Amino acid sequence: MPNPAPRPEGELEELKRIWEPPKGIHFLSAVNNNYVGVWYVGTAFLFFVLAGALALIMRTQLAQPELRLIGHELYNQLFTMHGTIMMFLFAVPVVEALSVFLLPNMQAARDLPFPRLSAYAFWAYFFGGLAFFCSLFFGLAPNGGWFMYPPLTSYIYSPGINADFWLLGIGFIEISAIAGAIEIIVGVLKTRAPGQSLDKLPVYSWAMLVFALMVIVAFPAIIAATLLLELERAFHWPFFIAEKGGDPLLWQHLFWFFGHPEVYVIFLPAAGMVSMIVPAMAQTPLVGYRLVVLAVIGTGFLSFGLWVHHMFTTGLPQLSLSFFSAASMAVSIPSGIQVFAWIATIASGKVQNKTPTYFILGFLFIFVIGGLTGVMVAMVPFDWQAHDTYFIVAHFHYVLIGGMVFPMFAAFYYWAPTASQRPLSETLGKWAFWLIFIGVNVTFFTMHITGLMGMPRRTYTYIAEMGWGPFNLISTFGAYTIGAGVLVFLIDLAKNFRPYQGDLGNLWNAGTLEWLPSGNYQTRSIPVITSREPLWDQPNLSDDVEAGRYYLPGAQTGGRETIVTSPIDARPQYVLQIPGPSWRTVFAAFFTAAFFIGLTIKLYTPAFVCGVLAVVFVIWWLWDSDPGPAEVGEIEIGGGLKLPTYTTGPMNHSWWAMIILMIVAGMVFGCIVFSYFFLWTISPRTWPLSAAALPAIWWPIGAAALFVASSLLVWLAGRKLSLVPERSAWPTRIALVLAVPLFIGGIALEVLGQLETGLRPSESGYGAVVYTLASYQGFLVAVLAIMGLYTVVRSLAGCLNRVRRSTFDNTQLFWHYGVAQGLVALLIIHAFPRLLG
Amino acid sequence: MGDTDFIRKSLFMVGGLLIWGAHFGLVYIFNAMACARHFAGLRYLGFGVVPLTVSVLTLVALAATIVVLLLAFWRRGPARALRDQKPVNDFMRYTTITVAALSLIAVAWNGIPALVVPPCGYALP
Repeated sequence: MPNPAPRPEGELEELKRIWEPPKGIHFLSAVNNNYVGVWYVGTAFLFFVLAGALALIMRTQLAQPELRLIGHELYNQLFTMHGTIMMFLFAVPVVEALSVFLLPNMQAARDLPFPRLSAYAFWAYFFGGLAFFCSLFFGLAPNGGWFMYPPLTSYIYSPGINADFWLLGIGFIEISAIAGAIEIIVGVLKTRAPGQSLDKLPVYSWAMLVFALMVIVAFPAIIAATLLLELERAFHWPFFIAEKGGDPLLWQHLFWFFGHPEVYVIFLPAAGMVSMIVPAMAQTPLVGYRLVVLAVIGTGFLSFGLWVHHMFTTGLPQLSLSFFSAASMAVSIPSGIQVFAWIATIASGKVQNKTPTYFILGFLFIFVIGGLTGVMVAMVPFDWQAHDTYFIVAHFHYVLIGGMVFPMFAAFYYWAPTASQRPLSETLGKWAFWLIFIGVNVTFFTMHITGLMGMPRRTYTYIAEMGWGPFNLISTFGAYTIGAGVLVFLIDLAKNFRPYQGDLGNLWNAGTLEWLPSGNYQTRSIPVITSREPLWDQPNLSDDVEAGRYYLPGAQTGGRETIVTSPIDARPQYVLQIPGPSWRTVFAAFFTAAFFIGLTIKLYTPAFVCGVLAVVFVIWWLWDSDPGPAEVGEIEIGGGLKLPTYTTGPMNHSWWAMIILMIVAGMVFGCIVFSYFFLWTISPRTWPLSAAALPAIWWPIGAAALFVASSLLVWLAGRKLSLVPERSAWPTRIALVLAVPLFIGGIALEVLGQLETGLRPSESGYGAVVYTLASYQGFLVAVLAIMGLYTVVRSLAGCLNRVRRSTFDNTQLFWHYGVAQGLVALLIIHAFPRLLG
Repeated sequence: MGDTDFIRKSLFMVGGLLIWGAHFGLVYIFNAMACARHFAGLRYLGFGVVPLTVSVLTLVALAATIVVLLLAFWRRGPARALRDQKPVNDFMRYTTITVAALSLIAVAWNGIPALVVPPCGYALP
């Protein structure tokens, strides 16, 4: 490596043909990250503009005391939608979308490891998000604040379907985010350029890895919370109703356990982007790379210790509050490390007078101010004064706009040359920057003052005597200035952004791999790298890559390929056969969105039909996803290195995806278990006082036995599979088919046992949480039943044997997880009260 | 083989922060239970049960974090796998040490309030 021999005739043309996107309307079925990434970013930016428009309406209403431009009903919907859309439909999706586009390119991978999954995540978000936004036009938008606290948002005080739009709409969009996170973890760890060991991993990749790990740990909490609140609203299961043994604080704990990491989930990718842009703008490597990696990891962990700082005024014990106050201060250390690293890098280089630099400097200024007010509100007594005032609004807009929006604009100007046939305009960019920068400071700095003067959040007007009028007018003026800046950016976009394949070369003279020459196949060959800034340190790298002198210059399997590498050293392990365009994912996403929207608007039969169709399209899509080894067998990727085209076991990328999915499922389960113990702590009177109130011990013992038996059968099926095709596949098939009713029987026994005691979920918090544990287990049983039967069908179709067994391995992994989860649930429900009594 | 190796090495690398997480969870749950179930007023050895327990947990967490730091520094225990002088091993060893150092600060910061702040509130012990 690099291989000096010339490449054969037609090899490049074949590569281009294989990666060519479909034409006409079929272009929408493309799954390649270069296209899906652009659509995804574009949709997220659309939501930014829409939510910003809502903000302008609110600011207009607040410009003067006692204006009556809009009434309080609409105002409540506006602030709820502004917050919800910005946080759920813009902030997280845009950073995920940018990574869909950038991450493979930065690691010289040809695509993400599961392109159809990210296409599904995009389309589900597109359909679901737009439908959710349209609720505004019917007066059905959620109106309980973006954090939707019960009891206000429960069935008594919010009887309409507004809250259901939020719960079902956002709950399902979070599934999109989690799917993306699974992809990012596997992408960062398993699809890198050979030689791109962990010490040479771009900071952006580190940031996305931590982002994705945080998503899979934190986002299940919002899924659990929305599940519980929807069950309360729809079926009156009283999780949050104090009189029946529930507690409104349970929602707050679950929501903020998600909600606080969520803001760092938003910030870390932006910080990662800044760590890539600053060295390029300053033309010098990042100062303190290892400490910046420490900071990213440290932020990821410590941010999970902050959530109660959103609940300082709820009457929780003083020392408990202090733990969160301390952690909220401690988390500023890693942020500070990064800020100093960036400043040092700028100081040690020669920073270019270009638009990305402006947005980076603006980010530093605004984000640091936001961080400082963050440490202020981390002080409990100060927060007791500032909570629910405009001081908090000022703080979080400074950290979010400073910490994510400015880096996003910097990223647009910086990376546009890789996505567009023309760069964006320097002149318009600087105009946009100054308008947005001045506008943000005028709007939100003033709000610190308004807040300290006592103006509360979420009020549609105020009286003149409070003296808030002039400050609100200033903030409104600032908001329109921001609007003007965004408009300038939109003009720039319309004039100059021409997707898809940018061919402008390494305009900034940057050092990282996304700036290699590329086509729709990404790079002609996949390089071996020996440095963190390969384009600066490895001479002739671009020419050698373009000439095909590295790995995989052609497509020997006749399909799309990339290299899977080991997670620490990035040693090539096998060649991943990547799927191509597919309409199935688009339809699966459409019907998934339709299912959730149908439930929301209470059209149950159409919703059910759409749900079934969604499952059908997902299964149809999955059918191609386990191709087995390619016909050509092992292939020589270059430099004498031969790699398999298929693998199974812990090295396989889908095995990793299943493990991560198990963590997600486990976290949702953990949140429901937390709810069980939390409600027991708060309302022990509703817990069974003796074993007599519980189901007889034979029910859970029977259920456990059936669960374990099903696991044994699946294990046996696996043993028999390792003899196929030399021996018959029927033992495997029969074992799997029998495992399904055993598993179903187990959960049925549990539910029957509870019903027999007369316990009902709507009578108490205890009943609600017990039946929720059972229902969640039932959901997993249903999913596994489908997976088990699907595996049997694969076998009948001749697609399953001892070599080609990923489908079975994934089913088996998840099955054993499902059984283990069921056993833990049985233990908690049946052993814990007996231990107390 | 490289992949299961990865889980062990990376869990050790972030070991300090895993200890922080466990410490945080335990002290928070303990104080919450002490206040919810009204046993915060108990005293042992002349100390309130909450400051005593939190202090003990803090010292244990600090000690465990120091063990992780020293194992990495001396390339012992789980850090034996990092003995080959490769840039990536040096990087993982460095990160293990700095993560542990950050954790020491965070654990101490989290534990100190128990010495100063009343467990439940002014009205309750």
